[in-house]
Amino acid sequence: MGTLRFSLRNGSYNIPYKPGQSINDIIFNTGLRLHSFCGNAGACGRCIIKIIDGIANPPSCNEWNKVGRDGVNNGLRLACQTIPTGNITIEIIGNPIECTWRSLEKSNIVNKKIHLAPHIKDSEPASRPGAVPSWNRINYGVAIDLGSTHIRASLWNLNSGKNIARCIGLNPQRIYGADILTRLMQASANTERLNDISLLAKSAIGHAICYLTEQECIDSSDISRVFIVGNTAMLTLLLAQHHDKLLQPEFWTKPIKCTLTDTVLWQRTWGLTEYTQIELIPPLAGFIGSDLISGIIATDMLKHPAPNMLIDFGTNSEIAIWDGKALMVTSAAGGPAFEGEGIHNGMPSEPGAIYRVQAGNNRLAFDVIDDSTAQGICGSGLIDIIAIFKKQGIINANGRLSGEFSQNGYTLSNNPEILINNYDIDAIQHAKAAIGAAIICVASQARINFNELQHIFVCGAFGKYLNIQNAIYIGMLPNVPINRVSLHSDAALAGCDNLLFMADPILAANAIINKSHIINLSMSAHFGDIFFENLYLQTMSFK
Amino acid sequence: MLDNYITEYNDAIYDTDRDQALNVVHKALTQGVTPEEVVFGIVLPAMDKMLESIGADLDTNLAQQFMTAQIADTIVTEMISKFKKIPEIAGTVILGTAYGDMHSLGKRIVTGCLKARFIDVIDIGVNVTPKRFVDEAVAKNANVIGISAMMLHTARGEQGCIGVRQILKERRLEDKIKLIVGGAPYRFDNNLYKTVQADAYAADAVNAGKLIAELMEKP
Repeated sequence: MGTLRFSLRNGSYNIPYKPGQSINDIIFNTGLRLHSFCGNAGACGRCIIKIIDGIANPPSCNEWNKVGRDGVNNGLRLACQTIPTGNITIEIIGNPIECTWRSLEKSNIVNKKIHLAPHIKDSEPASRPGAVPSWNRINYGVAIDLGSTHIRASLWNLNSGKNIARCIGLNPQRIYGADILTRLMQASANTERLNDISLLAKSAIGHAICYLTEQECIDSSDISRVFIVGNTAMLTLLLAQHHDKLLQPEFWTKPIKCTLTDTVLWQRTWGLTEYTQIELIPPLAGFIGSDLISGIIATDMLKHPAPNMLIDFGTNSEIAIWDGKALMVTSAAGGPAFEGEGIHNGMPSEPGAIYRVQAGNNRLAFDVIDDSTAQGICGSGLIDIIAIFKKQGIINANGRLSGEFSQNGYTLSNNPEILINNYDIDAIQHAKAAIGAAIICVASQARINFNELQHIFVCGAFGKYLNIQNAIYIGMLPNVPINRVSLHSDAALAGCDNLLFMADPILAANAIINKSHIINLSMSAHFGDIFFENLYLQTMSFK
Repeated sequence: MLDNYITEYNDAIYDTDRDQALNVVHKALTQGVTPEEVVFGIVLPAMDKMLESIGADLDTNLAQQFMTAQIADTIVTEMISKFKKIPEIAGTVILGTAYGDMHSLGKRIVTGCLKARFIDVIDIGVNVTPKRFVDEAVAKNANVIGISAMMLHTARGEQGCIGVRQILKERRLEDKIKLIVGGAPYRFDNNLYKTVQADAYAADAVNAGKLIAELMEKP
């Protein structure tokens, strides 16, 4: 028995604990949360604490790796690996996660005014959700893209068809793990955790709605529709139902039910009325969720000349090919390298990220998002550097940096130091190989050659910034004429915006689902060979 | 003399230049190196050298590791047909991917590296139940079971390595069959193999080859 002591901005904590628990476990019981992207495995190194006074178990291998020899000598430990004995005082180095929202640019699109159910008088209860409750009231709709890392929301005036506001914030479920599998595992551990994970997403959506309505001085009771899209893991975790199915291979090609049953509770939680229609747009199958359906709607790929392709790049990437009659769809996990995670100086495409690199005379020129000081490099910047270095012979087709750079990497900038090393390139190669192999397998199943593709729609991590030529050069995109490729940022949210203006969004989603044929790559005999071939930095070949 | 070949061979591997690696081997043969010397004097030492460089953190990437295994596999198969005496099989290993897991590529690299050491490898596929791992090991007289898992929940799950250990205990096979694991989760948490009751783990596929060979040698 002992007491754990630490101080935060808002006060001091003295927590009695039972022996055998890690510091992370003890803190969990207080309702506070420490960052853990790896599910407390000691792998992500984010839960750093310092022991000021007291004794604990000796540091593990992982801890030596993560905090370094100097760190250990200074009392630094990982909270998830540290098991205290007796009274102990610590300092929390990593900050507990905050969920803050920031505004995004509004959409310029003007949608067609939506005609919902006929107007009814105030005294009559609505015949069904979505009914406009009164005379010339303005009706608002909220579209939510529930992503693993970010939640995006947009508010629309359903009468005028105009976008009022948009925002983005971090998904607070991240404290349970940065990736989907870790979160699903945590949710399957016990009911308490499952409920906490679900609640985190639910309240985050509630906060987003508040942020949007308060900014624009809108009464949340004027919201008629709230539609949510997301990958299946996010939807099942939000509902706290059927999430365990995703860890079973039998369900990877099957649809998983994501229907809201206790609508009234959710309406109340989010400050909405009993007339508000809340819909979770159904996922396609397995991990492939309604975010892909949404992307298909936003890009309008089914109305474009066929055959065409949509690629949603991310930690889990999805590919869809439309041949004019059917959609061939698959997903491939390549790791989070495209989003800058696991890269030495990697970061998502946010202010401070080097997003474009060009070769000048004897030097490299960088462009940084929002023109601020470079803090790190994001996916599109990495693609550029790899392409440039390959052209210059600094990296070979294997992906190895040559000579002087092979040991310590190539330093792009100092203050802060930003470098790229062999591990970073290897991570991108892994991700590239997964998506390259997936693209080739789906195209093969659809019996389509790359030169037949009329268009490629790029969404996800590269939806905003990407040098298409460089991407083709290193084998991230099929070798097609550049003018056939377009980038679509926030495609999942944009598609959800469109759904807000449809009379029957579920029908629209099901129409796409019914045309879809899911391909399970783990069943493909050739995936392995194609994967290894696509590790190399060279244009994608289709045999 | 063989040292030159080892260097040339490894340079080709690091460049993942399969044709060049094969050239080096054929050149050695024409210059009087025996097929046995090719395997034991060039290919295996080259693999050990690669392991050294992985250990020294000069690391090799996945492409290079796969190429090592693939080329070793090809060359050894070709050389064996020319051996004066077919060498004894050093042992048999059952390889499979854990229940609920479909990742199969890591095992391919392990297989290639083991073949060069004359260890018989039987890959029983993906999504393998604990019972099947043990049944196959018994049926084929295997000394080692190798379980690959790429996701934390399949590495840790009741139907993963823990399940196999349970059955080995029940059937009193623990002395006869060693249990090793590999895959990304084991790299992140170096103690995970103990938690799941494996005898050992390999940090990467090339190391797995060496580890299994060493386990075979133990009485």
